[in-house]
Amino acid sequence: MSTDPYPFQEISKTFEKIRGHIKSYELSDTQRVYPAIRTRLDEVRGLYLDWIDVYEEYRRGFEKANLTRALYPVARFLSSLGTGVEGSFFEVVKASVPIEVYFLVQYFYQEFKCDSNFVLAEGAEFESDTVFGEISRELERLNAPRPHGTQAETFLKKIDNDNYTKIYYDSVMFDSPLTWPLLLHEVFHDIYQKDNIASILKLPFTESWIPEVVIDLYAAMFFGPVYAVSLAKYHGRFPVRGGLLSHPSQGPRLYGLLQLLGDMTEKKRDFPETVRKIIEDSFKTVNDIWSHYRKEERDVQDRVKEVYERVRGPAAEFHKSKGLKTFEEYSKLGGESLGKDFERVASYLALGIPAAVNPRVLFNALVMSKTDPEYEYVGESLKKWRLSEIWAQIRRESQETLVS
Amino acid sequence: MDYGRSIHSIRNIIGRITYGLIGLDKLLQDDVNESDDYLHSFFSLFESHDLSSRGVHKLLPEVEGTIVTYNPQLREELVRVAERVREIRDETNASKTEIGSVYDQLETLLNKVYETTSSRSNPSSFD
Repeated sequence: MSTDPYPFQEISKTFEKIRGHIKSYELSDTQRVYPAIRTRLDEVRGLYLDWIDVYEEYRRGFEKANLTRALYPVARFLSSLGTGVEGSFFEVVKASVPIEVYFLVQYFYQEFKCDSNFVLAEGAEFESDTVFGEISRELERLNAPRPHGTQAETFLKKIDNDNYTKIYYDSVMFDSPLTWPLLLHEVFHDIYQKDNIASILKLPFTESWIPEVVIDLYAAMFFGPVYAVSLAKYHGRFPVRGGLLSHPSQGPRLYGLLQLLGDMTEKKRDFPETVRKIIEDSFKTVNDIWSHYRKEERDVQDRVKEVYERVRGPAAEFHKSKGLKTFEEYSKLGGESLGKDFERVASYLALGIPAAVNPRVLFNALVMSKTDPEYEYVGESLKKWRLSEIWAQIRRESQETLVS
Repeated sequence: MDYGRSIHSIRNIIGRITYGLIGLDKLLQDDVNESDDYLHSFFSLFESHDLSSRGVHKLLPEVEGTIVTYNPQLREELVRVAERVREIRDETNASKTEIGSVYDQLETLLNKVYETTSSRSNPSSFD
């Protein structure tokens, strides 16, 4: 008895079409214009072609597996897997967020000296995964059919070796720059693992959500008050009460960040005037949103506060170990001239002129904006900042060459 | 629960149920050895996937979490059908009609999983 080849021939054609769609998908002008981003996208494209090769191996194996009744369910399953690969690839290359947001995420990784192959992807929420992680989850406990189809392992290993992190943003928020700092949270998941922060902190990991709170605090300490504002405003979109296993609910999570903002408010005299205003505005925004949840899960809120107390010292040390200054140190050290940078962004924003300033200055200055900033404006500012960084680097290098 | 990425987990669950169908297909063809491999994959949805074990099967927490996200009723149905699959597997003299009947139940369940997951509404949190 042999399997009716018809459904598998059709699946083969479908896989070939999907392969063609992935292979021939033309990147946009804005994606192509930055070589580093184009390289990332082309490398990820290669991973998806390997991914469809894995499924083609499964298809070949099942074609020779002498299936009778299970023939069509298997064909249907393979078909849905193929559609999934195409969808997963398009999450990356058709992402609507401005391409310059790559510079922002790259900045986060570089500052923390954490090498990572990453791409941005459009999804249902802010989260991160890897290409290998996604295919592995789909194929967990689903061995490739034997004896045919065993090459699937070879392609899987290739994906694992050349793996890419996919940092998802919430598709609805592609044009809400005040939520983009939440991407730092996803980057920090990588840093948290690679730098083994959990074991450095020696926290009592009795609750599975503690890493989320720790990451929030590290991210806010680095990026400044705007991180707390981002999280607070984003919670309006998903007002979950009661929390989840992996995450505490809104009230406690914001309460942790309010501790940080509260500490900064107490030391406000040390900050330049503009930064003081940013801290005050941020505290007010977060506090107003938190007040709706203040009576919720008081015990968890107290636990979060406890975690904050324990973590802030080591978090500052961690920044130091990376040669970084926390936002607090950075703003104090910059003094009034840095304060003027914040003011400059605010006035440029009103005039619609993109500002070539460090993302920490740019995004925190946005807190002072009365209305939500235009996302194109923020994208253009990131581009201008990135180009100014490149020029500065070229100048430094030429000076070094001249000196030597 | 990682709602956004649960699509990969649900595809995996669909795959393991499909492997259950292949296992029953192989039983219908009297190919017990090959059937075992595929049924093993199907039973790996449960905490105790030892094919010889008797008693109530309990879904793995992550599998249960994913299924409940989509349709809590499917959980009971999956446990019930899996129990029937196990009985058939353990029964040395199961007739083709009996195997065929369990096959139909599992296929109906699989169709429901497909149907539910394609009409799923969206998530509630961020990771």
